[in-house]
Amino acid sequence: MIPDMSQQGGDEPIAQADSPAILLDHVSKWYGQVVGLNDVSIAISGGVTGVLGMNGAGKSTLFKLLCGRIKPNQGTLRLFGINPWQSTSPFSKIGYVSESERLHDWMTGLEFVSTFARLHGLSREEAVKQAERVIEFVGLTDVMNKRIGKYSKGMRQRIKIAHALVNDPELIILDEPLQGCDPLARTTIMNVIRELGAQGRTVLVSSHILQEIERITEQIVILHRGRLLALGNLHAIRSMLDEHPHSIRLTCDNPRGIAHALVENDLVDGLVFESDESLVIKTHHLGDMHAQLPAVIHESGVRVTGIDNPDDNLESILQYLTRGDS
Amino acid sequence: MTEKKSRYSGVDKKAAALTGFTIRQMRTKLSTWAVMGVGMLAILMVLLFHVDAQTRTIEDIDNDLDSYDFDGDGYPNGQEVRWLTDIRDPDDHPGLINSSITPDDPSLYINEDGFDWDIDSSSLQSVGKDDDGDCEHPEAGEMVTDSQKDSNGNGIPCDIQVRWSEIEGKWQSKSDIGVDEDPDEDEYFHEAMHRAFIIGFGKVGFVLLIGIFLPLFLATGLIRQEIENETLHYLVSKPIHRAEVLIYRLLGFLAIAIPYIAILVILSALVVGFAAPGDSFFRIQDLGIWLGIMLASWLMVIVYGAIFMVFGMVHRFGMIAAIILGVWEFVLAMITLADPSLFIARLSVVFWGMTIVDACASMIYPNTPLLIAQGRSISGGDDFSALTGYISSPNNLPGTEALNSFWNSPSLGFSPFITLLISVFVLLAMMISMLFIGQAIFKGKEIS
Amino acid sequence: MSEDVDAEFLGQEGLAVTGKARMEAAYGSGDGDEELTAQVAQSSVVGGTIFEQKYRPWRGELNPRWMRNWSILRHHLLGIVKKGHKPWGWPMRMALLSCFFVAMGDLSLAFLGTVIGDSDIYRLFGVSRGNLYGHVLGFFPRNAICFPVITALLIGGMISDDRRHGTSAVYFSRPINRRDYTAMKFISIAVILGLLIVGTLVLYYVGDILMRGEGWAWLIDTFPAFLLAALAGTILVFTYTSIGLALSSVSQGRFFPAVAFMAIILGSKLLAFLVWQLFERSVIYLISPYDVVAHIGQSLLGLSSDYSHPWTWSLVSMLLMNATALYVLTSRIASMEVSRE
Repeated sequence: MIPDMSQQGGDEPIAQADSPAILLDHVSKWYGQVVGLNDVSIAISGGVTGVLGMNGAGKSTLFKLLCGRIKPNQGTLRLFGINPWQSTSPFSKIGYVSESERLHDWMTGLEFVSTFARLHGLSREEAVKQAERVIEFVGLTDVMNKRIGKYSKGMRQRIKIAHALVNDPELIILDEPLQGCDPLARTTIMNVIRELGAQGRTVLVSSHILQEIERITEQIVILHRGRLLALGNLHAIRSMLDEHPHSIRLTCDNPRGIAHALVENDLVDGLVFESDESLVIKTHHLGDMHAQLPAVIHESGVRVTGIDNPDDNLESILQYLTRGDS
Repeated sequence: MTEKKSRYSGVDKKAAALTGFTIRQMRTKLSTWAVMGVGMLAILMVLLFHVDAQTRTIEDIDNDLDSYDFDGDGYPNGQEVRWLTDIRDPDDHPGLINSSITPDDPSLYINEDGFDWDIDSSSLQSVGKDDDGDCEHPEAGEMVTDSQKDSNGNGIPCDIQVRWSEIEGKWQSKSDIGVDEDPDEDEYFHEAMHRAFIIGFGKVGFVLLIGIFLPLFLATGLIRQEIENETLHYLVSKPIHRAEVLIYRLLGFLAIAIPYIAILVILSALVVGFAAPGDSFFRIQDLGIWLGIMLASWLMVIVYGAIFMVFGMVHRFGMIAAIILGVWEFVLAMITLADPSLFIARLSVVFWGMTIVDACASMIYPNTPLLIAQGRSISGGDDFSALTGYISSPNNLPGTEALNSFWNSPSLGFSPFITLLISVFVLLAMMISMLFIGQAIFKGKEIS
Repeated sequence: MSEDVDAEFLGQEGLAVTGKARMEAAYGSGDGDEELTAQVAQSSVVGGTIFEQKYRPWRGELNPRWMRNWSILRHHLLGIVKKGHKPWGWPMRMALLSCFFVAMGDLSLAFLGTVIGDSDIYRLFGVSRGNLYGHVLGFFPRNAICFPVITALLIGGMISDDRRHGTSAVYFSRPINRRDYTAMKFISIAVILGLLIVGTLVLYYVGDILMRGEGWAWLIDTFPAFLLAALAGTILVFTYTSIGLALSSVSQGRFFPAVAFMAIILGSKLLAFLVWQLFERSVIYLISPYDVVAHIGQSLLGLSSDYSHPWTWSLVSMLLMNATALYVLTSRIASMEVSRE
């Protein structure tokens, strides 16, 4: 038997009752001069939470803190009421999917999941049984005896999720689970995540694509440059945004010609000429505007080569949200 | 009554899982097999040299030149010396003293006076017997006085004075002229080579080469490779203490290294045992040294495994440190082979491993220093030139220097068994303290 | 056209390697569709833009081949002294510096002997046939702990890093063929090692002349020995480099080739030492790269040999080792896939 050298006490309760799955209290983490997380305080328990942010916003830093890969420089962090650097016991209730693509390519999917299940203290038979269960759950049963090295990207993501679920965790942390997957794999993984949320587990999903998170959950956390920017229901945040005009960008050979046709439209709140080839329409009624646009364009006779919504991404939401600060 | 769930629950299961994982991971790597294959080939090659040497017959040398007949009178020198006739005068030979004496067959005077030393542990003693009569001169009777027979001046005619020199740590001999001066080279060579090979091969082949390079190749990456592959978090983000991760990874490496070493040692023991000189079919006596070699090599891979694994874990430049430590050990191993009593040698791991082999060899073949002294006593120098005017064989007996260069008496100043225990203890202490330091660093290490 | 392509991509003999075909492969096509300027998606898509795609053949002029190769070479060499080139890391530089001091040890001791007027010290460390040999091929400490360690550190990631991280694509997607790539890697290692081994030999020799103010007669006496020692040092550099790079090309890590190199140099030496001590068979030294070069060096300089077999055997063994290593190196690089393996 190996003595536990970090702990004074031997048998302590694995979790304390009524403590939230995740509790961050004024947590900061920096790497040299670069700030990873800046004074973040959150408590999360139950349901699927999407963590949104641009690259470098601190999503991965947050997740690495949560799974005990890195230490906070300031503040306290508790998983089920326990500091993961004091005791590794909370990890028995956590499943972590890292952003890294690297896996043990030499193992088969089943070996991979069952071997690491055994690190949770399961017996060999029990581990294989649980592994087969979670592999079926993520839909990889037919390839579970192939080497991971031969898996496609979507399969690799799913086997990572299976690995995280094998200990029947109460808290599941998924760092960019949809990264690099084709639409089919995306849909499968999103279904898996929704299903997990429906089972009453706490699920954290990070992404930098708003639409992805939108399809999974309504509860979101937005991080920006290491700071907590928004926290709560996606709809509430969205409606805040709706008070602000949306933009539609038209790419065409004669912007002024089409502007002429648009000026009289009630839905239009403003028009901006970005360049000789593009026109930005400001509106509060995005859906209606999109419905009317084809007719307007057709009538004007202007040749339009592109229509897009510069607003409809995280960047513009962030821009909007941070405009108040600065 | 529900089972109480403690942090210790399933420790054995985790150990089995992580160790098994490590073993399988190593098995799938080509480099593991390449390294072990090359090690096996090297061992086999050296064994081949040994079998070749053991099956070779060493040509008999007439160390005292008494089978020659310098004056051509038909009587070999040895016969003339017995009768005190002049070996250089054809008109002076035993046939003149007594015509019934016919010349002996010269081959009787080759290898005719071998070692018959019977030594106990006292420091100064008289041994040896003049088998061919060139000291006792039985035919000459009273013509030679006892003091003439006592050229080493210890008061005993026709003997060899042997004394243990505490300062030099070896036996020194001083012989009367014509005592034990013409031993059987072939017999001596094979015995000396047999011992020299086991000790030298054990210390250089197993303890040094396998003991350093196997862990250097296989253990340095145990944690470092997982860090570089970004897969370490699969091991540490689990309800398992990080010290356990270190220990089970090391165990996985040892589960491959220890049987590998055992197979190599058993293979060598079989080959060397069957090729051993002597009447018996297989020399069982050696097994004690082979066990010592196995133990020493095992401890070496355990200690180096822990050291290199921790080096690799601490920093990415730890690998460079591992190579530099390897070179340091190499240099100190050379020093240990040359003179283990130098204190600086003790600042290495390899010294303690080699000391285990030395201690075991001392226990199994305690008379080896004597064997060296015997090989050296036939220097052919002054003793015979006085007699024959010729220097017959300027070198020691074949095999003496090989044995001398690898034989070292345990240098710690204790009995071999105590030395063995101390060395094992030191090596284990090194391993434990390395793991302790390693887990203390690993526990606070961020994995990003 | 196709012959040029073969020359560049497959490295065929006798044909010019201009790199042009490769640039065209990268920037456009040279297969007759130069006139195609646009393939544009029609704007039947709502809510998005598909940008106009234009393919133009590459019409630039390439620098000559040697200039491209030179840029690879200087990338590796200048990394030792300044930033912005291949990063060698401070342990590497420290090791190089300390080995340089060890290599200059004989000159400084000879200098000491001259300064304090002790001719015995000078005789031990000053220029002589044996010391010129010892400067490049002496076993302890140079070839036991200095030169092999430096070689091991140098070759560690030289090719294996490119294999592991897929950075060989940086070279192979440009107008550089694989043979040039291999040659430049080889030369850059050989130059660094050569500076350490042969370069310090030159310093030692010149330093000794300046220190003692030697005359022509002395120069004529010793210069051939100096040249032969430099030749022996070059053979050593070549052998170490080819073995090391061969190991680097079969591996993906930094560590394996470095340790394997140390194991080959020190392990074979130790094994040969064991067999020599026990059985007095000097033939075994033919397996040790250091010893075969040392044997060649001893006979080049006319020193009494430590080995009892003919030196030509060592020569053959050295040639075999280099041939094997170079074969492994070139065939591995020729078949190297440009991907992150």
